[in-house]
Amino acid sequence: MSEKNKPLPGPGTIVGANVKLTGALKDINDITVHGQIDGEVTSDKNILVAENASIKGPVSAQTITVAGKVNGTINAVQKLELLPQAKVDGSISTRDLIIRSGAIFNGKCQMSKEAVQEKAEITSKEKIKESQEPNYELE
Amino acid sequence: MYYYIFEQAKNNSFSRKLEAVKNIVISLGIAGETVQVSPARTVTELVNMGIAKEYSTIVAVGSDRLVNQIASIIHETNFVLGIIPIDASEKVTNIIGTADMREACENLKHRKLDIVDLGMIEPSKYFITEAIINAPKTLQAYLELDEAELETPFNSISISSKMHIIINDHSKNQGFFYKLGKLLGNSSENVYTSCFSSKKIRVETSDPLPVIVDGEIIAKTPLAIRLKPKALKIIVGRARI
Repeated sequence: MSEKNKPLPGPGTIVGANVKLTGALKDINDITVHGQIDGEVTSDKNILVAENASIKGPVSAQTITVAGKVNGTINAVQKLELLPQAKVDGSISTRDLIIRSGAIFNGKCQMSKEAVQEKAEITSKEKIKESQEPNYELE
Repeated sequence: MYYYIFEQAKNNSFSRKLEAVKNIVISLGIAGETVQVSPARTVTELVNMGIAKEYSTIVAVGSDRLVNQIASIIHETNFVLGIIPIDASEKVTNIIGTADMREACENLKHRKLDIVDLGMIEPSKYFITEAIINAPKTLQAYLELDEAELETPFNSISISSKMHIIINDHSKNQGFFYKLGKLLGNSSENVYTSCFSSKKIRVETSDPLPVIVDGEIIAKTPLAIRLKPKALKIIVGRARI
C-alpha cells in the first residue's frame, strides 16, 4: 500500500447494523461489520463479520471471524473461523481453518503453502519419533 | 514573549482560577502581556493584536472554545499556541497532557513543542477538538469517505480533528420492546454505533443541520471536512512527547 493510499491510523472501524456501505473499506486496525458492505474489506489486523452482517466482495486480514454472510473470496493470513451462523459463498485461503457445526461454506479452500509445509514437517517429525521409540513385545 | 489571552469569566469560580493563573505565571517568571476577551474585544481582535506585536507564543487561558478560536486563527503560521486549561474538556487536556493549571504553566516554561493535526471544514474553518452534528430525531445521513460511500440513520455524528468519525444511531433504541428489554435488564451489545477514520469526509443529511464546535455553530450540512496534518505548533507536557 503506498503512503498516499495508506488508511488513516485510528481506533479501528465499526460498521453499524443499519449502515449500507459501498466501496473499499481499509483499516490498519480491527474492523467489525454489523451492517451491509458492497465492496472490498481489508485490515492489517482482524476482521469480525458479525451475525446479520453481509459483505459482497473480497475480505482480507490476518485473522477473520465470520458469523454473518460473505459473498466473495476470503484471505485470512493467519486464521479463519466460520461460526455456526456463518454463510460463505466464495473461495477461502488461510493458514489455520475452523468451521463450526452449522456454518455453510460453498467454494474452494486453499491452505497456504507455509501451513502445508509446516504440517508436513510436523508429520515427518512424529513419524521419526515413532520409529525411534522402542517396540517391546511381551510374552 | 508570552501573550496571554484570558477567556471572559463565566462566574466567580472561573475568575478566581484566572487570578490564580496570573500569580502562577509571575511566580514561574514567565509573565507576559495579558489581555481578556470581552464584549468589546473579540478573540480574533486580541489574537491579531498579539500577532501585530510579534509575540512568538499566544497562550489560551480558558476552555475548549477559546483554544479552538485561537487555534483556528494561528494555524499554519510560526506562532506557537500555549494552553492553560480552565474548565476544559479531555479533548483539550489530552492534547497538552495535563488538566492541571500549574502543570500547564510549568509546561509553558519548559517549552516542549509538538505539531498537531487540525480538522478543516471547507473552505476555511478549523478545529482542534471535534465537530458535532446533532439531529433532533433520527434522520438519514449520506457520507463520502476516502474510498467508500455510506448511508445510515443517525442521531448524532462527531468528527474529531484527527478525523475519527463516530455515528450514533438510536433508531432501534426507541421501540417499545427495546425499552421493555432495558427495564427487564437486557443489556445487549450496541451494534448500531459506527466508527470510521478517513482523511476527508463529506456529510449530507436528509434535513440541513448545524455543525457545532464547542457550542458554537460554525457550518451547516452538507459539508466537507478534511484532515489538515501538522497544522499547529503547540506547547505540550514533557510526558506527552
